[in-house]
Amino acid sequence: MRRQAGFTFLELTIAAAASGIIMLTSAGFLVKALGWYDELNAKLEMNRHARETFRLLAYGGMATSNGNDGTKYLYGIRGRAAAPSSGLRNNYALQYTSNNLTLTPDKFAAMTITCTAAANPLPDCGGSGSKTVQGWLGNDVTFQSSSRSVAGDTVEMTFTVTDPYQIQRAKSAALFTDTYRTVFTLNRMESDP
Amino acid sequence: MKPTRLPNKAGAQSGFTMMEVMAAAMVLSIFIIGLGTSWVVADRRANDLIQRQKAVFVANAEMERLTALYNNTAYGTLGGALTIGYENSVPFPASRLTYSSAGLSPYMTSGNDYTTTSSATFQSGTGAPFLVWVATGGLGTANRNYVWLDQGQNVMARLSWVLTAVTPAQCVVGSDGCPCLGFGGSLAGSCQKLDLFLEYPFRLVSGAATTPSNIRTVSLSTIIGRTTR
Repeated sequence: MRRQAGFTFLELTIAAAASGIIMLTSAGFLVKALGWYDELNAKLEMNRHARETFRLLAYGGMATSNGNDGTKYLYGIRGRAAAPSSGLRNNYALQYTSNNLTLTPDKFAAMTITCTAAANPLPDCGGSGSKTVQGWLGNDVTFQSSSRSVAGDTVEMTFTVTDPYQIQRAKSAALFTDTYRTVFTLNRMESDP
Repeated sequence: MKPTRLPNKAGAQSGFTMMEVMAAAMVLSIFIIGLGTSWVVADRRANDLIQRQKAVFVANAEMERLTALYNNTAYGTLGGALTIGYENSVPFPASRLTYSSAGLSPYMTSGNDYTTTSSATFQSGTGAPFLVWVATGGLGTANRNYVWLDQGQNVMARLSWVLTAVTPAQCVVGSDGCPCLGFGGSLAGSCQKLDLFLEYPFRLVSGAATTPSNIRTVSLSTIIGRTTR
């Protein structure tokens, strides 16, 4: 009978303990990495939606039918004489109206989000109840033209972008909400058609 | 199943030594740490990207305000204050214009003045996210302007600009319909090229701006000119 030399019990125990520690660390790390991936992905998505919101509000857009002035153009804020009223969203989706035309370029199928506390998970949650969500604007787009306006021609704009998918399961909802600010000049002399 | 190691003696087999197991564990640990580092780097890059996006929005905001100020008020006559000695002057100019500590009241009502020399007002005054802080101290040419890039994260940007006269040959200023008057609003003048610089990320600590080790810059250019409007 051949003699075989394997591990001793002590060696096996130590190796198993060392491997266990490494595997547990790895598993914990991988679970955390999934969270990091979600967070990173949400940041990039929110950035993209912020850019899209900015572009539509700055430059306007184009509809398929004619507006009041016979063109298909929605005039951006730079092409208006006065800022639109605050809001500009419908079920959290960006909704912009100009020239009697309305665009909702960033809308998805409705989902329901349950409010758990004030401003949680959505920034405009009142504490309880549920919200129907179809977009990425966590709060109303707001305009300020009555103060800090240069020659009455500039308007301050603030908008809040929220990731509606991640915010429902996030430990910290604030991670998936970000606020952007800019100023536009009102360059048009006539009222929006 | 193949044996993991060849027998070193006839009829005898040996497993891994403790040193081999520990070395393997070490290699695996290094791999995990490397993977973690890549996430940290990716997260930092994403944050840089978001910060840059905000800087672009803020640069746009400041450009819109400056353009309206130069085009529609007499700000261009005496308005901008010359400042010098910027840290990262290459490839950008070392001498630039900023809002002065005197405020904007000659050009707009005090309620509309969006500049302040108080860091406290800049931090928590009315409309704070849109204010421009004129940080003073020492010589006036060392004053600096700051705006909020992300107030929640205490990230500021330093604002400055330069003006260069633009005199295209085909435009005889003030006599052939050339739209650019002097900044006073009546006499002949010239159009100007406005280059705006927004440098970040500065932070506000104990009422003073701390300079980052790596200053990033967003710059925008446009043509401005006083109109008859």
